[in-house]
Amino acid sequence: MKSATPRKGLLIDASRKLKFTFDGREYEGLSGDTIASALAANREWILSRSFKYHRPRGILTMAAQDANTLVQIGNEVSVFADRHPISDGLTVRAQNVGKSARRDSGFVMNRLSRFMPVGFYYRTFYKPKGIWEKVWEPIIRAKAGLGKLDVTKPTEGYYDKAYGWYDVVVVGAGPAGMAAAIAAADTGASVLLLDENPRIGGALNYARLASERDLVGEAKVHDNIEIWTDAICNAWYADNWLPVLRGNRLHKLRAKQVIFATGLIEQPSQFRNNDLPGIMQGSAAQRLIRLFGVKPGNRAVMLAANDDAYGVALDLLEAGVDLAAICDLRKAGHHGPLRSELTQRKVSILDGWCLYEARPEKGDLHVRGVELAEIDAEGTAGRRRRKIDCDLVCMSVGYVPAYQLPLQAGGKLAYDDAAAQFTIDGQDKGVLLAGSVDGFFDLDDCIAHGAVQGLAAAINCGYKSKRRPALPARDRGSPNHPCPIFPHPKGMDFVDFDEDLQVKDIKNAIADGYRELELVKRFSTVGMGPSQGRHAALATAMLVSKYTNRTINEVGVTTARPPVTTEKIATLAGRKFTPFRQTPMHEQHTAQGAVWLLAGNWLRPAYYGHERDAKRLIAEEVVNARNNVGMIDVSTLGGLDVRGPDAAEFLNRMYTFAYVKLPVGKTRYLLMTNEAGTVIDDGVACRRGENYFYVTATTTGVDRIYRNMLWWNAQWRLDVDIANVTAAYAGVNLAGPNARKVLEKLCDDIALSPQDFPYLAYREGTVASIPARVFRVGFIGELGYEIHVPSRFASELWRAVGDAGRAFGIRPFGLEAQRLMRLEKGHVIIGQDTDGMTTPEELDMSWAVANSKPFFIGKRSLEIRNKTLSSRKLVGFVLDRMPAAGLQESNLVVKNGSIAGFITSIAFSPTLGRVIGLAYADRLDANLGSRIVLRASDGSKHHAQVASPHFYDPENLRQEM
Amino acid sequence: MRWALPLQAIEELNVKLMTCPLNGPRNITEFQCHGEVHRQPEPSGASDHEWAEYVWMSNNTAGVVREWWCHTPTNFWFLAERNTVTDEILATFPVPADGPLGEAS
Amino acid sequence: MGAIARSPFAHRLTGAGQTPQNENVVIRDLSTLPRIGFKGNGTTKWLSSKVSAVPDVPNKAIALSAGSLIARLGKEEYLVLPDPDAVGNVCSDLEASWNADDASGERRIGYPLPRADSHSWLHLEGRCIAQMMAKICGVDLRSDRLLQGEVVQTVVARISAVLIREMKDGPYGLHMLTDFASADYLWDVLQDASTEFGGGFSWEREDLK
Repeated sequence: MKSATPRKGLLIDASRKLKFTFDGREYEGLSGDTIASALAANREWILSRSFKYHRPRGILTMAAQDANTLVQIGNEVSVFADRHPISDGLTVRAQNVGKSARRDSGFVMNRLSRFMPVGFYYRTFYKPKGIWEKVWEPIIRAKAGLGKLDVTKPTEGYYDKAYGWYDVVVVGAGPAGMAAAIAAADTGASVLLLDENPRIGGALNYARLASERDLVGEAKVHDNIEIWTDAICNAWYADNWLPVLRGNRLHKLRAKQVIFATGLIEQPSQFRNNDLPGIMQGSAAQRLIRLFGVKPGNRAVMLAANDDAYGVALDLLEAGVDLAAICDLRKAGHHGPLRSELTQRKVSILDGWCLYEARPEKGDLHVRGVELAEIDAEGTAGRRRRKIDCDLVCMSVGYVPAYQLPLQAGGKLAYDDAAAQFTIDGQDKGVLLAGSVDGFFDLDDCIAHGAVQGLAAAINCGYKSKRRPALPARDRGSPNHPCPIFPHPKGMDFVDFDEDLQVKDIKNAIADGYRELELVKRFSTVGMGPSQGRHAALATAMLVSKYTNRTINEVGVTTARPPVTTEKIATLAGRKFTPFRQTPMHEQHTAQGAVWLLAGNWLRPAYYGHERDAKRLIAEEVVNARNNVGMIDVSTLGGLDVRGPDAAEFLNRMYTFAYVKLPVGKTRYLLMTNEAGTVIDDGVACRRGENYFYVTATTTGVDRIYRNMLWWNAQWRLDVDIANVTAAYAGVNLAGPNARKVLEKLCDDIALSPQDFPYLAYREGTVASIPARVFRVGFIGELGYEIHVPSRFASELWRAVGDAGRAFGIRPFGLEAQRLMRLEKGHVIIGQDTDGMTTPEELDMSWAVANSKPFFIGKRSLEIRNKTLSSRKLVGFVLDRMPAAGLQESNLVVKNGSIAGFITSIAFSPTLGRVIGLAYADRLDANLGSRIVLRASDGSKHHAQVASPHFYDPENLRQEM
Repeated sequence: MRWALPLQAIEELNVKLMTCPLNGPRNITEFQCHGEVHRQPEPSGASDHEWAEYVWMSNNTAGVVREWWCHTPTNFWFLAERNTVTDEILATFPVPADGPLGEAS
Repeated sequence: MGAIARSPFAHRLTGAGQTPQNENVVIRDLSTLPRIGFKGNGTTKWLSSKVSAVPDVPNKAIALSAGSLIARLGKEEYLVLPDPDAVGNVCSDLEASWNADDASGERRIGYPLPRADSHSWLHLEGRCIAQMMAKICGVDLRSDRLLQGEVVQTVVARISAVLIREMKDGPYGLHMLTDFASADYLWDVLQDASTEFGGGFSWEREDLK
């Protein structure tokens, strides 16, 4: 139907026409229309097909609260058609349909519905074993599910997050919320008033309500109120932490006080075919009329259980809808100005009647008429019936408070069975409720209550006011019917539209023994669809209470958990905040062709050159360092300055070795165990002065070790200061037989001869005119100098060392070569060659444990553990060649059919021409020459010979040159 | 490039406030909990069993406990009294001069 | 010493330079300037004898002569930043003074920290700094919440940061000191967060200065 007169509605602009498509057909709408309102204006009512039976579904709430209106836009699935605005060229598709929402081959499921009882999935598909994955899941997945996502397409758009801080955040900008915001803001508090709709005002915008105060105007001009529309508060978390969705941004708000003025959710009635398009909430019809100027139908039947229904009826009349009858579930005796107006207009009102069945058009495409029944003494549909033709049914039978957020905030829900009303109490102390969510139904009461709560929130924030408004009375009656459920023997009386659950499904779940609501939910899946039980929870509770002879208060409702409504993964992801660290030489490595490796959060060169030549390049880097000279960036090594009169004592307690007598100008190995005696870190202590140690720690361990040191000293209170200078010092390890010759060209204030600067010595001076800490350690087993300089000058150092070494054929080597060379020397890497139980004894490193010390962390535990040694030991092993199956780290060492240990390091050594490795093996097999069995990933077993882990230069002649 | 950055962890949405004695109230994501404060027995005096209890066992108290916490950007260690049943943080304070349990340790 | 200090942002400061189109968010790299820290037992006492005054509580900064500032980061921890435009060098003076006292055997005078090498130093200025920072930092930095001279030690885009509200009159300014090694990461984070304000890094090519 093309309406001749232009539509008039609060949200639309009749002068701006927009064209969009739905299921491939083009429609015209107006600026401000939602997809659903624009389609309704075009008399297109079917928006989707139901989840299980593929029944046609249309507008139910017009409030983006139900799954009926979920549609797909481009690659974005499950968009609310009654929230998403149309735009020119917008392409919308129905979800969960074969061809289109109107013509859906899956509708055959509707005929099969009696073969799909509640718990169908649980009962049917799990036998025989494996049949679910192979047969049923693919079939059901194709028929069920919401939307189709093309995972090959990247998410479009810029999604981010932002923090925000307010004194008071008011969620819901209806009459109570606006009044609360104004009252709080009047005291000087900073207030955020947010609402999910495009306009503030709440029910004032669409319901037959009028307030003397211009709350919208007052709120808009208030200096202390910030207003966000189209903003969804999607959860409440501790200390008033509120995630608010607004466009592509997730706001993470912290409020001193939160006021939930979230209002009510109108509830449907249950009767046969209550899900047909054309059957909607009274408030949905009002939203269509007032917000969008859409006539919701031509001839209507109004189902009433409160006076709000009469307001809807009058609105329908004024919109030009023919009102066939009002069917009031209540007994006669309800009077009031609205009813008088209706009787004056000669509207037929049937008191004490219910809607028993809605009659569909062919294919269940729309409601065609209704069958009404007089309610009998038992409160069920009686024999007296009446049939009426209509194309619209509006329901106003009751509400539940929008309790999701208050309950997340710790509120407890109780049900007053006499008044048929939920009450919420006991929420977090920073959270207040205002208006109808707290049981106030009269407009003036809501506004008055909002003002009270707004003021209370501001006072709780520390603001002052002389005003003391009075709390409105609570006992003005409830608009809720105690049980608007009229089961039909032929079913299709839907309790949960999302999950296609009928009255009998709930009844059968209870009959199967699931008497508790949480169990009914899990068995039947009631309330587990996209609308999260907004329209099903109360009806389910009513049914469970009825069939188990308990009150609704005893039955309760299921737990409310975040999020309140749908949210996108892109929103949760936001921007990419994955920190990584680079050394000051990063650009130089790039220029030299580095292939990068992530070590902890550091980017380190793995090797230099093209990836296809990796093996050859790594071997060349090794050979050059062994036979000539190489340089490696060691800036990522942890560095700690430990200073103070107790510095040596502190290291003595933190590490296993002894440091008090370490002379100035010398270094000593550091091994750290935790309180359980497990090896957790290692490094080198350089004694710079009597009270000053420069301590290295593993790249990935240093931040933890530093924090741990501070924790211990918070207890020991030694006179020592610890500073993490990891980033402040960058370094180069210059290693190889020609290392001294290279350094001699760069250094004129440190005597470098083996006598002046022997192995394990520490010196300070300048290298390439840069102040440097230089020490001789032998991690890769060659003559080597570790040169540490301030980061600002490190790229200059790298350049200078490279230049000085050019004449000697120096080349940089990466982490891969370094790891290989340390393996050739049998040096363990903590974390790779150790696990959560490794003791120094298992590593054959008891030499690094000074048992004569009175204390070190782990000492007591090691004493106990060393009484009964573990069954394993870290051993070196060799193989002549790598088996075809390949052996790698974590492959098992097996013995007599049991696991004896595992490989921790394995590689082909280009220096030795054979495969070498470290592994945990049975301690009885730790003798040199023993054979151990290694199990490859494919299950094949390979013999290896136990060897000294010091595979290369076991006498350490080279590193001590 | 051969390396791949680890999948970005989606930030924990449930962010309480904690008051650092040095830095004031902050989102709890800035802090690390180091567990309940418990007394270390004298290492040389304790029996093997006592020592193992100390290293491996936790009181797991349901109620108010005194815990070690660290403000990670500053690596500042302090103590908190927290109710492990309600997760309510009752107090935070620097390590007292007479030790974390209030007497010389 | 012949080598020239290099900023960890240096590889990003390429081309002719860049100037944001407005004064909403303007970020300048001050990493090549000196800065120094002092920490440990006796620091407060020693530093008080060397400068006109030190902040009386942690997380406060005060101005020293010649436009430099001293920020107190803990009970016994301080950070000294020179005036970017000043000629003198308060940092090297303090370091020399500490070295002399240390050499003469004075004890309990704290210990210097190499802040110029451990931390990069950015200066953020403009109308929208607090708004931009709200995208990457969980502390309220708005001008009425973070007063001039106040210090915040927190997390910015998952890395630790020291933030100091500029004390000079004029537009809102923030000093930001973060891990030297995370500069490349931080650059992208800040550029991304600043784009919506038409802001970002500002620099001129060295040889055009």
